[in-house]
Amino acid sequence: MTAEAAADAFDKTTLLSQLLHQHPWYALALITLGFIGGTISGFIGSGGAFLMTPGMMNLGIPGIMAVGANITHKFGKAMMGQKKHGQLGHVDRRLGLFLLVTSLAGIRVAVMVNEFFYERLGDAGSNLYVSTFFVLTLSIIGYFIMRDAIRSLRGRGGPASRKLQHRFRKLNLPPTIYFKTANVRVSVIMLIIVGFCVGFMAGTIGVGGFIGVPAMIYLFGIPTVVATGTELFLAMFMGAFGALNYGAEGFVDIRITLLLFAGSMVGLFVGSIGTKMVREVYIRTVTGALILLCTVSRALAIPDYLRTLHYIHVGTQMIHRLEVTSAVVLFTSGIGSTVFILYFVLRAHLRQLHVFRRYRAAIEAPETVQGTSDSSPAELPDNSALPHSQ
Amino acid sequence: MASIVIVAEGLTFDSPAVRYAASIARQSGDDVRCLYLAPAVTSTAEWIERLPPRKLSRLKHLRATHTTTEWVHVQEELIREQMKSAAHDRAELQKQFRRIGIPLSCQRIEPSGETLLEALREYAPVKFLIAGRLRLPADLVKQGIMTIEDLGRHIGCEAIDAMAMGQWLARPRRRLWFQLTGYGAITVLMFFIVFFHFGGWNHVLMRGGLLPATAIMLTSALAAWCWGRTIEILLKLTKVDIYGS
Repeated sequence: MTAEAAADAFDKTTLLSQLLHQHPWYALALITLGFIGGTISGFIGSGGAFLMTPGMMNLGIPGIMAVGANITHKFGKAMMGQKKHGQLGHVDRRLGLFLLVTSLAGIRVAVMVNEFFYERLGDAGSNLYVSTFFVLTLSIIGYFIMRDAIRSLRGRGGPASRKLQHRFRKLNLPPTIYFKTANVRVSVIMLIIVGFCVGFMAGTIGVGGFIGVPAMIYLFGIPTVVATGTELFLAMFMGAFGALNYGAEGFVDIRITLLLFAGSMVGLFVGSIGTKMVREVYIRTVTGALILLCTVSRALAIPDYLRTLHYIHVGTQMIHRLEVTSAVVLFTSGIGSTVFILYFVLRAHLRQLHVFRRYRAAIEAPETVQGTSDSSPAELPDNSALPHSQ
Repeated sequence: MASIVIVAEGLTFDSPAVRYAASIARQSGDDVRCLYLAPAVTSTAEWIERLPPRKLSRLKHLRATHTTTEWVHVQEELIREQMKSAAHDRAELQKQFRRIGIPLSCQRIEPSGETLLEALREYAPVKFLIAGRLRLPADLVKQGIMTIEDLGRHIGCEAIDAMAMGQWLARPRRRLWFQLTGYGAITVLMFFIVFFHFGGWNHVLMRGGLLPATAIMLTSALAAWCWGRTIEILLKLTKVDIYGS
């Protein structure tokens, strides 16, 4: 059975209505999933997709519809994010457009490779390829992030290493292009390679930011904020391209996307506030741990595909256990990370408010606090003329 | 005599926390010290001379190729702009303090955590610390001193993040309420239409094709924009987002 046929086997237009009718809490579950994805995305700068797509599948939404809803959601989310970064001057649109051209080629090649596996080995073969790629690439990325974080926790870490950047810049492969906002000169060859890899990753497993942002920082020498802003600019177009493709095939239920938005937008803002309050080493630790746990969760799904392809012999009960463990690991890591972020944000915010409240009286009436009457308010600036917030 | 220290990066006399410091100093006679984390170099030549040998040789290599001219110019321009703005702020703050009869001693220090801590130790005992920036120099962040509050705890005094406090005390603009109403109404209307009056529309949109796909994309963009702005404004009005995120 092909993916389209499998998706058509149920009535995709009434699927969500049926699920909502059967389980009244279902909308809340999708909003919560959006909130978890949004918080993580706002906190670590990218990601969320690696948790939300399998999360939706665990909630009973077919894979193809889950990917469609997620990519449509990604488009809107990236649009909001890049607007904010754009206002702060953190988006190098020229660099984004250069990377976009090559990343679209990467997406196309990724789809072709996926189709090759699908035609040769069927649905299980395609899933096996995607899961293996996911496990291999993200375990390497997760390992490096975690190693970096552990070193920092032990007090041996330093700022992001620029060795790699210097090595690549020494190559000085012509021709080069100067990007004004990022304030770097980058070799066109490097641009093509990085853009292609980002596109290939995004086209294969749906996460391009994990390679795009570090590549821009370490290889091009772009400041972190500009790399994140430019990546969001890129993600907006890639999301639009994906949404248009899945929408044209009829696999996007806008109601699922809106429910995800309801939670993710709140989470996105909370997560971004968290980045200003939580030590960078903790952000890196959470990112590394989350990626590694998601990798474990995906690795636990591989035996099922291997069994379907008759490469190994495993009992049905065992497969069921692995599936449950995979879901538990995925949701526990997502919920755990969100609780961690919320705890730190709330703790820091409440502490801050405690200090402000204590001083508010003093600011509004300084002479009362000082216990003397000689501090004429006329001599001090008028407190009623407080500045307005933006 | 205790000191009241203002780390005056971007702070003006309009800041409620600075005015509070002024009134306290006037009552108690405590010294008010002002630290500026401005770059302590005046020209590219001086800046280049201060580079460690490895970086200097790297710069020379880059100069030998063709990649560095803009970089040096941009750095130089940035430093010049920062210094100009810091000097203006400093003069303005001194003028305002003089107006209310408080001498203000200003010191410009290099933007490094070690120098900042050294200066603070010099002014001990510090009664309280006021600062305008939440993100501190990288070497302090590495030690776990992320916020002004952490820095205050590190040197054993109370600290106020003046920017956040200013946001917290400020009366929200009326425009924000109008915007909240507008964006909120569009969001509610959109959710209402999609969930309760969608019926046949969903069948049309999920039939596939370029037109339905464009409609889906535009709906997604509109929902993200309106709902995102609603949340953003709501967080500002409820004073949850006072950190300029």
